[in-house]
Amino acid sequence: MKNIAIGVLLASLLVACASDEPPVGDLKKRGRAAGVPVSAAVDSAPGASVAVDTLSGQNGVSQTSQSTRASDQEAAAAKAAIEEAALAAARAVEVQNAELEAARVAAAKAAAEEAALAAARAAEVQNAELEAARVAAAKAAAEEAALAAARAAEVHSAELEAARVAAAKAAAEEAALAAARAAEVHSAELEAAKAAAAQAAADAAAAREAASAAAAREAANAAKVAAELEAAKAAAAQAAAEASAAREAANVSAAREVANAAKVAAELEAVKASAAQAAAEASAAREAANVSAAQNAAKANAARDAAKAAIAREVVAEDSLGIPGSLLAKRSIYYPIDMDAVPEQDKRTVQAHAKYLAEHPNRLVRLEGHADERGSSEYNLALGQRRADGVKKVLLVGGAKEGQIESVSYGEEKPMSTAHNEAAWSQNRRTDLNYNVK
Amino acid sequence: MLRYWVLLVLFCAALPARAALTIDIVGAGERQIPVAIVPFANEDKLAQSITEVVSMDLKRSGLFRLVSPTSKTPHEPHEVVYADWRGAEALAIGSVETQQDGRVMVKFRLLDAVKQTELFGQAVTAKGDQMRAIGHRIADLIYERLTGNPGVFSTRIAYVNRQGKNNRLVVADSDGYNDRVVLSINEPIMSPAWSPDGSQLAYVTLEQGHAVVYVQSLVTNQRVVLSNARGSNSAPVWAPDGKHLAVVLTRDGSPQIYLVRPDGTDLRRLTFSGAIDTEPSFSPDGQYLLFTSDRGGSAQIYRMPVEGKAAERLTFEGSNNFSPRYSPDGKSFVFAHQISGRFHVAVQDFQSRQMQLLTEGGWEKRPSFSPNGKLVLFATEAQGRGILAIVSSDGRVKQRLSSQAGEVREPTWGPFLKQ
Repeated sequence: MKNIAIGVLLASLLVACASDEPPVGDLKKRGRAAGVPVSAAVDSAPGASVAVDTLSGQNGVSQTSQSTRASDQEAAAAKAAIEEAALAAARAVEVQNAELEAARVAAAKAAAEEAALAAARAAEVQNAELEAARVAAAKAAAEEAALAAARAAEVHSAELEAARVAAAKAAAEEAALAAARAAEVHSAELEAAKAAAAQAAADAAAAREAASAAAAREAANAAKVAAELEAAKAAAAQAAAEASAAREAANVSAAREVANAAKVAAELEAVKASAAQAAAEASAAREAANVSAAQNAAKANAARDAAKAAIAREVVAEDSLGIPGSLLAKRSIYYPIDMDAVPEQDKRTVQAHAKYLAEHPNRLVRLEGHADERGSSEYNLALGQRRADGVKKVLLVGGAKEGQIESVSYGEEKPMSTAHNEAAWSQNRRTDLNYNVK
Repeated sequence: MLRYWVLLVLFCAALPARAALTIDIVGAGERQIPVAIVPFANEDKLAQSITEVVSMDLKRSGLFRLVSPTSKTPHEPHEVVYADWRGAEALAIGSVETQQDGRVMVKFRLLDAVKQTELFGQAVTAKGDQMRAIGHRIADLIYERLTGNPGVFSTRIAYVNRQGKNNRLVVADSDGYNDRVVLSINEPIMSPAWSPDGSQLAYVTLEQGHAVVYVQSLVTNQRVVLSNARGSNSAPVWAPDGKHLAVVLTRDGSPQIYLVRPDGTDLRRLTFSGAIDTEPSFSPDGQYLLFTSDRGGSAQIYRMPVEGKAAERLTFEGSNNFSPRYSPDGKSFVFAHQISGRFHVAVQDFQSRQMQLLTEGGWEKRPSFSPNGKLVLFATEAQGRGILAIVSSDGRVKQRLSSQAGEVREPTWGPFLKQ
């Protein structure tokens, strides 16, 4: 709607100005020089009279200053030509608008998906932390994340307002320029206009690609960051960058700027939505975690204590698989719900196995990934494979050789415990390191 | 909604054909068509009553109400006194005749009891052990004539029956009878998938110590390895033209979707997400794939053109969504919807993007449409045991198919059989 309104405004300005404004050469230079409302741009255009003098000899376009030198028929024909040119230019701008609209929608969609992804990842990471019995800290982080997101949205809103003002201002400039441009009848200028439109379209496509590349990068980052706060900050930074990009673009093209303003608005909405969703999911995760907090805390503490004890004994036992209580005696890695990376607390265990395999190149190990029964059998087979492959990566980094390791998945098909409860499920979310292979 | 037991349990022992599954039915269609099925002449001389099969099929669909036969049993049109059948809209009559070579000729007519005209008639000759198949065929004809949709009583289902370590891949009629073990091993069997012509099954087993995809002929029983790359080979599904399968492999890292010919050649990777992409399902025109992916942080359903390009996320409700399957008309898809720790069977319309839950939720997995799109078969649990269930695509009628022994899982509904 906005684009159509601007198109109409632009077209009317073109027609209004075409009758009394001489053509000019470099539109962009002139636009920067003017930087003022339409009428001022017309009056103060530097070099305008020169252009009029030069061109009037060729086609007698300018009717106000040159009317005594042109016949009435010529004037009418010229005017008709001017109007046609104005329409053509307006159409070109509209086409450009449509393309920018498409780019905006794509960028907004990518941003929304990226934001949703970041929120979901953040919620999962938080869930993992909660399982490590840091409910209180996570609660504070989630609340802070929501606040930060809200704050980011506010800051962003101010920036958006600034961008809108700049856009409006630039729109006025560009409208004046476009009007002046439309007054230029000869085909070379129309070609230039077409070329400019094509260039703008190419720019839009490039911007779209850049946006999607940025979204992909952001997705990878979001997966790594450990807290919702981080995600909110990243989203805010991204939004700020895009707002500044919008301001930068305002200097180039008014129509483009208007489209960008709409894009920024959409992205602001996406950021708001992601903030709201992040808050909602954080609170959901918090509630879920509260239920089993005590249990998880006890479990985590026990695991930590066991790990510490094992580390203490490792010095004695690290070169032997058979010594009970050593890190190497631990042959199962357990995971939080739907996670497939080796948990931090088990990294030392896996690294000890890596060292052992590096020192015993004839030993082979089979990594058997499992998943709990929730989800589909196919999905759980995939999840178990990701778990086994995650352990394999740590083993390879730690010096084990590819040929020593086979990673497979049993999905939900071979559960350690068949009950339908978290106690059973937490036993079934695991990777076993099986040295009993030929 | 008012739900009531229409029928309790079929006593399989009393029937000559053994059913591995017993059927319970709950609920009824919005409008039930009253039909009378008159026992066929000489039917009592057969080992298997044909009209019993027809009646049971029609009842099971939830769309028909069987009008009890009166004391009169007409077998030919001229014997019918329509005034005797006022409660019925349609009337099925017929006769069987055992020929000298042991084959049986079945004559059958469907009459419009209101207009008092013959709707159609058919005569079929078959071997004596084909009477259930003949019954299903007659039920299909009645169903199609009276509802306007093709019947699925002659179609088959595949499922896995697990008893302890033993896993059996089973193919049966859609009512659970006529079951046949295709494969029996002491390792898990997963993900059976029918070829479009119903002559082959693709499936996954762990018998080689990791997940391997096989294709087995139901005609010759021969099987070949379709994919045995390192890691997991899983989730096979046939393209509608039968010339390719989509499979999920971890040969290049994360589980991703690939296309492969039925002979295992011409492997081509379709997704490049670095996340889990699995459970592909072809659109009926073969142009699109639905699949499950956790690329967005949770398991959700996406759609992408088979030729690649960007995937579009389709599900946003609940905590996770799994196991998408296209409807036969391509206008909707059925899937497992996880919310608050429960799994529901749900359908979502592509155009409106509206999701509808078909079940009250529980441990419900792996839904698949009947080939006429009117029913959905899925795995669920009762008294801690895996069983199969069928729900009508409007959620009104539910059937439960319980196994006599062990758990039943991984069901999938087969295609229409070419007649």
